[in-house]
Amino acid sequence: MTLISLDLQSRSGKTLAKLDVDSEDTVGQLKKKFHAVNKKYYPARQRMTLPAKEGQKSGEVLKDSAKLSEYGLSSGSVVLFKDLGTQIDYSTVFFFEYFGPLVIYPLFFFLPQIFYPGQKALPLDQRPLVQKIAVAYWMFHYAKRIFETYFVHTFGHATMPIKNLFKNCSYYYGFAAFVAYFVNHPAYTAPDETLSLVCFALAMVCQFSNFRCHTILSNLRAPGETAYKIPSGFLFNYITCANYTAEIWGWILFTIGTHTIAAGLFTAAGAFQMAEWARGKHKRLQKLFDGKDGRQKYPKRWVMFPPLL
Amino acid sequence: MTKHREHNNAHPAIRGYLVLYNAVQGIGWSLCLAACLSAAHKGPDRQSIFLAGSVYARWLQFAAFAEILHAGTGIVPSSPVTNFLQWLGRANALFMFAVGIPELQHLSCAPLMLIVWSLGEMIRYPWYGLQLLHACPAWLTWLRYNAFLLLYPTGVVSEMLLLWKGLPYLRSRDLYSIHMPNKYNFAWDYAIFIQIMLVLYPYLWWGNFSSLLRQRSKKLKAPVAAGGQRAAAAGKED
Repeated sequence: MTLISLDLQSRSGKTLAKLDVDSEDTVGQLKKKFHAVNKKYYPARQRMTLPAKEGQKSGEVLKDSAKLSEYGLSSGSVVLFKDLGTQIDYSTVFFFEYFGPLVIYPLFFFLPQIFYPGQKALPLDQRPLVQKIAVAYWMFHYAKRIFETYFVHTFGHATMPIKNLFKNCSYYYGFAAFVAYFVNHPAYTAPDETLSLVCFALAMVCQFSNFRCHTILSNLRAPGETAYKIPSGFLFNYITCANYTAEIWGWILFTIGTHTIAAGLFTAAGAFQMAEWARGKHKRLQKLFDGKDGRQKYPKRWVMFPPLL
Repeated sequence: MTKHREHNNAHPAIRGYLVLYNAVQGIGWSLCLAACLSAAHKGPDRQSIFLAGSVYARWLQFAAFAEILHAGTGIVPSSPVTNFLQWLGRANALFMFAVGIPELQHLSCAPLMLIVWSLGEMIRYPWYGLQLLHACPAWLTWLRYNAFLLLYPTGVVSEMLLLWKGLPYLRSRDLYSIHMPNKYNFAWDYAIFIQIMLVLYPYLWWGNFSSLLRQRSKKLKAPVAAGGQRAAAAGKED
């Protein structure tokens, strides 16, 4: 319980504020204090770091939940501030990302006169079965994602920079239109109906598997816990990012079920991005759970997609 | 995300390979320029000039695909995606348009494009090679960071003109396109694709050009400062 005065500086060395805090306060409380001094920088926008030590490119990032004393901060210590830019809630971004595809895809199914001008489209009841199943599956998938956003997922970070909203929405909305255009095309050639039915049935199994994976992940931490845990149970016993496995297989089955290259490209793009994330998570867990000093050792597992990754 | 090994410290066999690669490209593009100039000397027929240079350009552009692999494996600190897109842009202009639509070879932009590419690459590849050998002369660095100021804008304008002039042929000959219906339900209208690319070209090109400008101001800072000091000293002596 010691009162200390911290020197908050910009990265160019200019003092932005001198903040009086208790050494037992958390970084989160420090950020609230700075927000009180400068209304523009709400806590989610603040990144605080220690000055870089010898050989470091940049200093250690201060975690919101940690106490100031944990970083060895005392009166006169310098803390560096970086503005992360306008922030937006993860859940808000997810909602807009997923709402787009949910609405865009069915537009192509229901309004061919707009998207395929001059081409004769079959009336809805005469459309190939695959097209009907595909639109239902697609809408179910994105409705499920929105549901999970509000009722299942627990987010490690509360916010992200707002420019990610535009980048992510471009990706999702663009691919939704791209895939929808070809599956719902008047000149669409349906594959064998039995093959399609089997594929979509298996794809639904993947949807439920993916949902189960998400509930396992959200139950890993009790509310308020921030420590990393080793996921276990169901497919997680064999694969670090089992949720991605189910997701990718779902889209592979969608592609085979619809015999559409555009869907294949969408699957590949998603898989590529998920592989990057999965590799990062796998490495992080292996590094954290190294088996030393009483810590568990991270078991040998596939990263995301046996037998390839 | 990609792991970049500092390529100047990489295994000597890798460095040797890269030096060789840069040498081959540097010599190759010089031959391309020589062929163009020789053909130009014989007569002003634009198509002959283009064809003379393209004999080399086709192979050099084909081989340049290797640079994507260099970036992907990390032996060169560069982004494989950026390299791929740049390679694709050039390959499109050269193979799909200049070679694929012979009528375009009568336009000035076809041989001009090859000449501009040659001039740029004759400087760039030797620069990379000599940098790897820590034997790069200052005048080459100067050339590398100044020649592009003229060559890049000329190059991008020639490419865009070529694409623009090629559009009618793409449509009338239904080139490089896939139509529906087909078994995999895919369509690709190359003319529409090129029209979109023409809109994006200036934006993509500017990203490239401005990063070179930034590199230029960093790399050419020292000599300019030295020159300034000498000038100031000279002024004082007067």
